[in-house]
Amino acid sequence: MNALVADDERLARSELRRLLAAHPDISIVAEARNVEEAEAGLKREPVDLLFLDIQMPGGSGFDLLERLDRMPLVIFTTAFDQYAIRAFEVNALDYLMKPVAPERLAAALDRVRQRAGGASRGPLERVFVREGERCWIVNVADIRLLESEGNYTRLYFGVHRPLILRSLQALEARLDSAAFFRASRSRIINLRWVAGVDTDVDGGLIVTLRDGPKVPVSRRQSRRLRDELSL
Amino acid sequence: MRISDLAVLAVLPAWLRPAMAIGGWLAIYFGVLARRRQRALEINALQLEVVAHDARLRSLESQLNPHFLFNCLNSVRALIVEDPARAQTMVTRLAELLRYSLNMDRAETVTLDEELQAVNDYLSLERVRFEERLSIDVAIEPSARAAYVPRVLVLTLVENAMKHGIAHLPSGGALRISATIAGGELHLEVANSGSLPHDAVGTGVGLGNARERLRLLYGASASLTLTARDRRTVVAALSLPAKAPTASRVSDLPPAAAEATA
Repeated sequence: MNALVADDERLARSELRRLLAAHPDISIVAEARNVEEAEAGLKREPVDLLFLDIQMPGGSGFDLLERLDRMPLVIFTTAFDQYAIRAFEVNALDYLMKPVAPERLAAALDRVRQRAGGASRGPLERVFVREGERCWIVNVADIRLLESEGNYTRLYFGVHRPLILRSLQALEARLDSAAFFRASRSRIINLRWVAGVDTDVDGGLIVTLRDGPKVPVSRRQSRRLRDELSL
Repeated sequence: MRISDLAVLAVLPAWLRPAMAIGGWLAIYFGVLARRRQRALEINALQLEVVAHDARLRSLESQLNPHFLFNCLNSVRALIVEDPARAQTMVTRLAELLRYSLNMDRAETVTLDEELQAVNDYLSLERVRFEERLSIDVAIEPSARAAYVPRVLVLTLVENAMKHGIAHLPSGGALRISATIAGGELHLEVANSGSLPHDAVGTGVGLGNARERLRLLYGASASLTLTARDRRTVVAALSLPAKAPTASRVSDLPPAAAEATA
């Protein structure tokens, strides 16, 4: 697995490098001292795993994630940040406290190995979402509905509905077309979350998603959805 | 006044009674005045004690600032392999700094020389973390080292300069500490690369507490300002009488006042 280490302190990076020497399947392909360098490194190298310090000069680790189109697996490394704890409200990605205990690193890497699907150039798997003080790394499979709001898109997952600064159209291009279906101009649904389908009075379909809401499907797309679900 | 006191007045010649009464009233008047002054002194000393404690707690918070402390420990862990001698020095410096901050019972003011030793410990730790991203310049007039400053106050200014200034700059910056004596006053400056934020972090708790301490210790004869010298430099400027202030602690007050607050 290819890893990038982003931390503004050289000693912190070399300490992590030393700790990772015990895990020969992880190779560090790049190091970064700040958000700009990390972003450039991620564009340059095929990175599967990102070790990310949260407080860095010129921008935080979260600022970096918000900028990324394709997000690798992330392990936050932090000296002490209440933000780090808050960041993990929903998702299960890992964080390590500096100084890093070798056993904690080993456990985090075990979880990463289970989750890793290789550096696929396939559809979007995870997306970083920040709204106010809270943030999530959301598995795209857990998103049941995407709703367009101008330049923003509202994501429905769990009990949360945060907005992200990406257009529905831009997101659609990155989504797995086998799972995600354009219900209308302003909505994309995840077919794996469909709980029921009703017919509207004018012949269009109304899809009920597990955990809500109900989503009306445009007439043109209703025909396609019938085929898709072989109704 | 008790009845028996009035009875004494009754046996005195008539001409003496008004004089006695006036004398009595004057005695009471000056007594009350003296007590008031004494109380004002006590209140000031108590306020000072509270603010000083608060300052020490804040300094503790910032050195025991978990972010600083754990990053230091992480550097030490790396240095143990890379440069064991440097790791040893770092542990000693960290111990000195923590001792200086934890020592709550010592005098309210210390000599600038003593304070600068703690500043030096702190900066040597930051230098390990920041490496080439931190350049330090210290220019202290020899006579200024004997001047008295409120304990941990200069340290707080330097920590602020690091935390709000240099730590935010990807390519780092410079820190300059200078001190001179002029007209019996100490003039100390902590200048750092960076800019004042629009929401003015500088007016936040750290400096607010420092100003309150200065007011209680020196009244109007001390000042602390935070300004942008130019677009890239922020300067904290401190001026105060070079001599140690009197009555800086409850225990330094006249015995009566100390008793009253005991």
